[in-house]
Amino acid sequence: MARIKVKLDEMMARRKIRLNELAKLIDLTEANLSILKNDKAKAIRFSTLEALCAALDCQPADLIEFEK
Amino acid sequence: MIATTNISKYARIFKILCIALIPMVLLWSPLMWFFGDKMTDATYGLNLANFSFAQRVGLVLIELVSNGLVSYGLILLARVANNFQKDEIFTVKTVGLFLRLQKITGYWASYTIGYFIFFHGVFTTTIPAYVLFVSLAIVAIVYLFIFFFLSILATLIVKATQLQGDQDLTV
Repeated sequence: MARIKVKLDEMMARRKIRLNELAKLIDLTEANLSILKNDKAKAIRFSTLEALCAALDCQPADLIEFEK
Repeated sequence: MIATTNISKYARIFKILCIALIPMVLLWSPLMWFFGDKMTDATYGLNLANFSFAQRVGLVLIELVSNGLVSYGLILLARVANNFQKDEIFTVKTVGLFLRLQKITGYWASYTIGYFIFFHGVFTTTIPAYVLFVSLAIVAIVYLFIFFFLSILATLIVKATQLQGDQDLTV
C-alpha cells in the first residue's frame, strides 16, 4: 500500500544526534518525536518539519519519502 | 453560531437531575397503587378502590422491576455525565456506557410491554382497551426513540474519538 515513510532515524544516525538532544533542539517533547521516529504519526506540522530541517541541516526530502 | 458551552457545568447539573429522579421513579409506583385511587379511577377507570392489598403489593413488585431498570438507566446516564464533567467524553468507557444504556432500554421496553399485556389481564379486570394500546404504543415509540438517539450519539462519539486520536498523533 502506498504511504509516506519517515526517515528521521536514518538522518539522526547520520548526524549522530540522540532523540532527547534533538527534542530539546526543536522544542518538541520526546514522546512526540518518538511517534514521528517510529512512523506512528498521522500528520506533521510544517513548523515541526522546518525545525527538524534546521536542526539536522537537511531537506524535507531527506526526512520523508513516498513509498509505493 | 452556536457558542461552545461550559460542558462541565451542564454535565454536573444533568448528573444531579438524574440522581434526583431515581427516588421519584422508585416511589411513583407504590404511591400510585396505594394512594392514587382517585387519580387512576378518574383517568383510567381502573376502579382501584376495589383492589385488595395483595393485588396492590403485586402490582408494586411487578413495576419495581421496570422502575429498577429505569433507575439503573438513570445511574448510567449520571455516569456518562460524570465522564463529560471530567472531560473524558471521547473514550471507550463513555461509548460503552451508551451501549449498555441501549441494552437496558431494550430490556425495559420488552418487560414493560410484556407486563402491560400479560399481567394487567391477571391483576385487573377492567382496563379499557384504548389505555392498553396507547400505553404499548408509547412504550414502543419511547424505546425506538432512545435506541436510535443513543446509536447516533455512540457513532458520533466513536468518530470523534478517532479524530481525537488522529489529532493526538499530529506532531
